[in-house]
Amino acid sequence: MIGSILLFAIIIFGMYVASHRLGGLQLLAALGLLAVGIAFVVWPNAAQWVAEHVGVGRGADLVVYFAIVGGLFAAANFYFRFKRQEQQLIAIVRELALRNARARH
Amino acid sequence: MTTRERRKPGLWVVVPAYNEAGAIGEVLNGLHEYLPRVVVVDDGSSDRTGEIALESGAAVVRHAINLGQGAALQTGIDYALARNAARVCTFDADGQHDPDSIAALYAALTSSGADVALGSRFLGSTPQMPALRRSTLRAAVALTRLQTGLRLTDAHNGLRLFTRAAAERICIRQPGMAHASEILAAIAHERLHYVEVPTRVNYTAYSIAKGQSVTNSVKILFDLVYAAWTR
Repeated sequence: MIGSILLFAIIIFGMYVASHRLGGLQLLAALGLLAVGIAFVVWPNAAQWVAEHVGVGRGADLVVYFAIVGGLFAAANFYFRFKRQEQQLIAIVRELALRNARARH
Repeated sequence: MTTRERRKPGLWVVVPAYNEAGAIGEVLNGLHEYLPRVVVVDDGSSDRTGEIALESGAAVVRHAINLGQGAALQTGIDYALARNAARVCTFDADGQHDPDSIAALYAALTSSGADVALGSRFLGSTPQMPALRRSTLRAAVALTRLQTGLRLTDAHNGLRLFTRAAAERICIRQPGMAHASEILAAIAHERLHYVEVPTRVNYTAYSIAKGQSVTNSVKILFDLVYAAWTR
């Protein structure tokens, strides 16, 4: 049951990603994530196997650790993108302001 | 042209203002001898700041949205430079600066041949400075010394005077309040010569309420770390 729900969620996620144009690295990361997700759902023991080989007790813990790191990368990515767009926004607002400068004299 | 203007050719005063309708009229009144070469950057105010500034005889540049004091300063500097400013002064809109200080900065800049004159409230007289504000500013001074090597007495004074060449070389990218340290970092990086000039800062109930909260210094710190990282 949980397996089919997760697979369904992963497929929806995959369609969502596919509907947006992603550049090289991001596309690669998304596809990799999808593949790992599907593999772990189809072969639940795979996570356990990897976990044991890297010194983590349980497969579930391994997934959580990677999810945290992945989340941090995503957050940092959004933050830097926000900062870039902030600079672009400032440039637009400044340009507009300077064009519409007013003075009585 | 007033006498003062003749004696300070090409001086532009940049006043960044956000919702300062209660103070801007009086501030511009105090700056009347520098009009019309005063530009108020209305940083997306929701009150009548811009209209009052225009009525008071200043040039007004209006940001469509609120960007922050750093962005407003850079817009004002761009405006002044585009109008062939020979010198650019930055002046706060909340009434905490004394208009007479501009003359002191001007005199110090011309007599010393420096590129930048910086106002310092710790060299000057600053009545009624709240104790917490004082210690926060002291911490900022120490941090500035660590970061830039500049041995200043006041790191966050909004009153500054730049030569045109210096103003052209300073590019403020921090839209918020971290610009004060960013300007100092640029002074250090560009090896600009600076002088500190004693100025008086008036801590009125209005300027304290409008000014920086001490907790905001944490945000400034964060912005600076970010800026250093992505430089």
